[in-house]
Amino acid sequence: MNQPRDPDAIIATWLDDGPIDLPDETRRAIAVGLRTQPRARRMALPGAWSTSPVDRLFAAAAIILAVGGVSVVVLVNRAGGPGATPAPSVSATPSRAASSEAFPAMTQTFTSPQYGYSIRFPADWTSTPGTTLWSPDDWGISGSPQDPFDILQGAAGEPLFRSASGLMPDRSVVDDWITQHLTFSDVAACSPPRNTLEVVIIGGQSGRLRGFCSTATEIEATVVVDRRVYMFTIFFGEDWTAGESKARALFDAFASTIELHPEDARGPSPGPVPGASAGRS
Amino acid sequence: MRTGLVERARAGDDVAFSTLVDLEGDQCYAIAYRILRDVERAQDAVQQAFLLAWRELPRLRDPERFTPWLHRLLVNACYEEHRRHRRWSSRIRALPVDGPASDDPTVSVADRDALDRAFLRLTPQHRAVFVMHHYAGLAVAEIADVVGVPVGTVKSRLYHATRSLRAAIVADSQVETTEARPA
Repeated sequence: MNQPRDPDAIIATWLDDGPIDLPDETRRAIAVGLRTQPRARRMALPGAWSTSPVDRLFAAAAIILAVGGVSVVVLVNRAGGPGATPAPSVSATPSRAASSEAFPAMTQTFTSPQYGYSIRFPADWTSTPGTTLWSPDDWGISGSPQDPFDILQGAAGEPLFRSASGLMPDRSVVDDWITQHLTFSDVAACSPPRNTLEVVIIGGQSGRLRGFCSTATEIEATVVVDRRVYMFTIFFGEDWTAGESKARALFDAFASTIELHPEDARGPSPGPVPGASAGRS
Repeated sequence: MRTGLVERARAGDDVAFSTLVDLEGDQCYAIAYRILRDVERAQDAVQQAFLLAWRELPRLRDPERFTPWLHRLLVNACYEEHRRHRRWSSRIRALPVDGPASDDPTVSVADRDALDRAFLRLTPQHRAVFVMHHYAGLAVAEIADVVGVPVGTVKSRLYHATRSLRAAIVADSQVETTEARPA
């Protein structure tokens, strides 16, 4: 009789195994090398800072323009008064269908076996259904022995489209709960409150979308139907040089094919809907 | 104390820098080995990282940031070692992965082989993120700072790497089960 094995425990043990002490010969080689290494000049400015007076003039002008531009932006933003909440923009259609972009045709359909949605994807991409049921607190990075997410992936690995859905707890307020539980960024500027995010329509339901920010090359939309929160995320690696607008167009190309079927999702049925948290968002 | 050592080393005190090598060397070596899975190349990467650190230290503005800065040099040195190895290994037969065998009964020889193979199929960028998170214990934002990529990229790489290694273990288990099943 085989015991169930925990892959994460095996990986952790495997990773711990190995040398941890820098050999003395390497320390000696470093010590010898120090005597032959030329040293950089102290506190050099980044890049080649020109000493030409003309270049300095251009640089100073650029700084003044940049500071001026920032000031204008700040002043414009303040015009709404202290504490003004940024008004979310609204996309009238399901994710502006990726009209003019030359993306491959979405010729295949993936129907999630456990999350209650379907989506179309290009013929040369692969689909991999999640193997465990997603808990909205589980990001699939650690703590879960298997992958709960449905994955659509091209041959290059990235971009990668990841999806799942799960039930929100009773008595939770949609925007507050998602902001608290599903905002996966360590940088505050990249994790604004959900009710300030752009509104999008996915599968005929309105949801919210977070785009690229300073540190995250990913686009993520959340849609809630009868307390089932759907999360659709597309990840772009650092090799993505086409910019955010094309990234958004690719996300929209996928999102415009999504159909939501919460009644087909696995897991417990939603309980009584409390007043404050009910409905669709 | 460490900040003082960095400031002295930055000013040219090689004794202070050697003390920093003593303090940081083991951790750097452990990380480099786990990224490269090769003892000699890990030693080379650590040596290159420290020598570059000595050369470039006068440019480091904030001594408090010495360790993440050193880790960035180390990761770049690992990438360079990987590139060199790839050129070299294209002409010769690959040698077995170095490192002591585990005594832990939860990790079988087959597990180790499966994980080694899966790990070596990852890019060095994926490996670095995985090791920094799961071995060195750095948070996603700290890794982004060290390797110089956005947080989203770190998450994506971490996700891919973790998924690949888990898949290797699961596939290995299925092979074992199939082989153990009577015909």
